[in-house]
Amino acid sequence: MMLKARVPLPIVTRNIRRGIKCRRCHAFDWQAIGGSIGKCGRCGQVESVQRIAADYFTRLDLLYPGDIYKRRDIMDHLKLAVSEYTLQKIIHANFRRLEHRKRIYFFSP
Amino acid sequence: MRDKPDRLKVYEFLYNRLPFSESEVIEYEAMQRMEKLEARFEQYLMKIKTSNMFIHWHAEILVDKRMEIVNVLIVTDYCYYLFVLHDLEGEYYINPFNILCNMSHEAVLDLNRSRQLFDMFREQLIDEGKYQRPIILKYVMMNKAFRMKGKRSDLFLEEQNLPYYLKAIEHSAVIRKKNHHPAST
Repeated sequence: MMLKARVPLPIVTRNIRRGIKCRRCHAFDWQAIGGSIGKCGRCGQVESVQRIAADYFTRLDLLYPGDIYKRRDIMDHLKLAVSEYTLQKIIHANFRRLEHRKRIYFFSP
Repeated sequence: MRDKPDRLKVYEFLYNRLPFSESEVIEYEAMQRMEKLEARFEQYLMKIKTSNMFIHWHAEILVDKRMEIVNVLIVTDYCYYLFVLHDLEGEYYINPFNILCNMSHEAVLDLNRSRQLFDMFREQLIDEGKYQRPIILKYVMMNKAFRMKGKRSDLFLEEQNLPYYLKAIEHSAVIRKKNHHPAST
């Protein structure tokens, strides 16, 4: 069918500021409280860590489809102080291993 | 359930992460306004039964080298409805050249383009078989403060009439189904 939304922005730069930002006020003050929820330090918006992380990588995948990530890249993108358990949950929910290679993933929710 | 356009998702993601150019800021703000209008339209749509309808959100179409947005396309077995949403406030009139102008006599909306938009859809939305579904285009004025002065146009649908219009679409999609064979898609 002819109806199609325009393709995403032709962004070529990789110098975007990484890290979770608040969905409401766009501030980078978002911090995890425990394993499952987090809160924006500026406006107080509370959200699930899993959900906001999934949302982050979904949108990043719109910009850079098919990118691969090492475990360190994922941590660097999120910039959240979360436990190993929470990080593993985020990775298992949103990523698949690249050809059975350890610790190299691609986004596949 | 409506999904945000990918382009807006990308803009939201990049906001505060990258410096935006002036044109990008303008486009981002325009898309946010459009998103709000579509969300409001969806609220009205949620009040009717949409099981007999196919709903397509936010189509961008190139008409004479310029992008036109059809915010909502509703397809029933009997008709195509195109809705273009606007948030115009205040008094407007249609000048002799079929252009919507505000009271400062500035052109706001070229209604002649509606004909081109309509023709473009008519060429594309061709049904198989004998029954060709009519195509109805409406500019929905999603602002209760919108007023028309002088000549009125059937192209416009005011927000206060929108629930009744959608109810009529719902009703026609259901009642006619009993008596007629639906058009094949």
